[in-house]
Amino acid sequence: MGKSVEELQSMTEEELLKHQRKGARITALIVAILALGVFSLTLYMKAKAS
Amino acid sequence: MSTTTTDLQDEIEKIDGHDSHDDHHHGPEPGLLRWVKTTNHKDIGTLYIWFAFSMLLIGGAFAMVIRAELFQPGLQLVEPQFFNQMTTLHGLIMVFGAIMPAFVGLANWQIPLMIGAKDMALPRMNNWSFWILPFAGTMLLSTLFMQGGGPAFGWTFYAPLSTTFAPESTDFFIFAVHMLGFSSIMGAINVIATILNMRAPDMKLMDMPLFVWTWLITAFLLIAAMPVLAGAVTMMLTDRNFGTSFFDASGGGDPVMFQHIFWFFGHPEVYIMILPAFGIVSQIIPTFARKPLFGYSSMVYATAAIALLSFVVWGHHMFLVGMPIAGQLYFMYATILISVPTGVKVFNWVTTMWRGSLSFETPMLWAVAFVILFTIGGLSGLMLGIAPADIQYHDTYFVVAHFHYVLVTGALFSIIAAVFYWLPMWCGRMYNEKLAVIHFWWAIISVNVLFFPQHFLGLAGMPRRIPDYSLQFADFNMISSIGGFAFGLSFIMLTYIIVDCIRNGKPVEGGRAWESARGLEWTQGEKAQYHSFDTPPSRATILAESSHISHEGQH
Repeated sequence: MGKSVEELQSMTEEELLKHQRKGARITALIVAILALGVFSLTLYMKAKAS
Repeated sequence: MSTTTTDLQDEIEKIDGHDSHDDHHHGPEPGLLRWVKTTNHKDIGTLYIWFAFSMLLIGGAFAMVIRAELFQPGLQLVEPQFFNQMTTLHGLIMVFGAIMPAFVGLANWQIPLMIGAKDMALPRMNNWSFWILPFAGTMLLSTLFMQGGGPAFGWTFYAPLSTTFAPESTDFFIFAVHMLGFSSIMGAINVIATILNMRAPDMKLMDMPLFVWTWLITAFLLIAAMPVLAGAVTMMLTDRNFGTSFFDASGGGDPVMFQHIFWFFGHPEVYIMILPAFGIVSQIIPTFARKPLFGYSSMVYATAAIALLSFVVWGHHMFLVGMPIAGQLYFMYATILISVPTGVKVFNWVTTMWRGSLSFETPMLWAVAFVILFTIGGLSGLMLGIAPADIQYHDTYFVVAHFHYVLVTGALFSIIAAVFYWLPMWCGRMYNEKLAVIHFWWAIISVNVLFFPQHFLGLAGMPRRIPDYSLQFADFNMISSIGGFAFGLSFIMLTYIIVDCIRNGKPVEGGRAWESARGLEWTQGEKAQYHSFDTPPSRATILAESSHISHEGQH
């Protein structure tokens, strides 16, 4: 997270992949929570309007 | 296999907690199990594209039933109830089974190759995203064989048609839509995680090819829109089975609210199906114009602007439902505003071609056809967005003509263009150019014979979703049906061209299929290897392969 291009370039292949996948998992978690939030909000707003 | 790669594999296993030797150490696993277990982005992309093509043929067969019934006035071949099932399933299958999975397939194949990544960020979730689809598609299609028939309420499944008055099979339809939505959301998560995290270290966001940009924005649209659809069908489910009345006026619910919720999903959905098409065309035109893409950054901002605006215009689908005049004015102006960023795009494509060294190989033919015909669809969309005019056009064949120009000559044509453009790289073989050109002209003429007369039918007042019509609509309906059968037949030829290319095509020689194609995907040699980018591409390679930077003087 937040590493410079130079730091990324100095990593070995496996370090880079590990770093990228760690970031990917965090991104995926945030996006999944967003999606769940939109779903919940849809139900909440409609239930509130009924 | 080098020690470094073995270590890398061990690292992947530590992170993944599973043994993925088969996928990463060697080539593909032999036999059919390869396709079930694969986590390779190219395999999964291929699966998506073949699945989408199968669904296109099934949805197309339903369209043939519709056009056969409408060939002449009067009830000819099928019962009205079955006709309604055909219109409903044609729409659902084409949207959720054909167009969307085809774009996800292209994303799977191309995004990692275009950003210098080894694979998608979450390969096993990628496998899961795909394998949900065949089950969801089968469940949706199986409703046709259930008691009471399949869903017959149109692809928009407005309540109370889809709740109080729907057949029992609707619960299976709801489950299928849930699964399709779940698959799309997982696909979108994967695309976002891949683009944001797996790019080559030296690739900045504004270095990314337009196709990758459009898909990143599309993925965010999916994340914001698909859960709304999931919410709508969940409320339908509870209204039908658990005694709630979200959309039942007799229980204090509001059926019109269903339409608001549906179109809050539905309008962004239209852009989910067209933004990746913009990306594809933005890759193809510079290649065959032999010029860098004009206005790259404006293309990126225009795509983002279209995506944002898509969430604030849903009311233009509902002008006739009953809306305050201020609401009508707002939705009208907001809708018309979308033509600004869309116009930027069309201008940039035309300007890219302007004074280029143009050649018209098959992908370029499809791309140019896209620009012209999508613009026609966009212009009829502007007409529909004008609230007072929409009173005349609403629910007529004019709407049918409009959205088929956008989704067939827009989205589908871009997918065909993409397949012809990248197929030589995918399989290392070139298709039969002569046959492909004949197919193009066959399709382009027939598709216009099919859809253009529908504008006149709509303007004359023929309503959509009816199996029978007044005599004054007979001639244009017959012409439209003839075009429909000819366009349907063109897909047999397309199937032959693709299968012939894969099995017997002339091997591509000399590195890349198109001499002026640029992009990291073309650095893989004649054919994309099963595993790509063991070493991330350098900054110099990224810049040299950019299709939006001028390379004048390099050749």
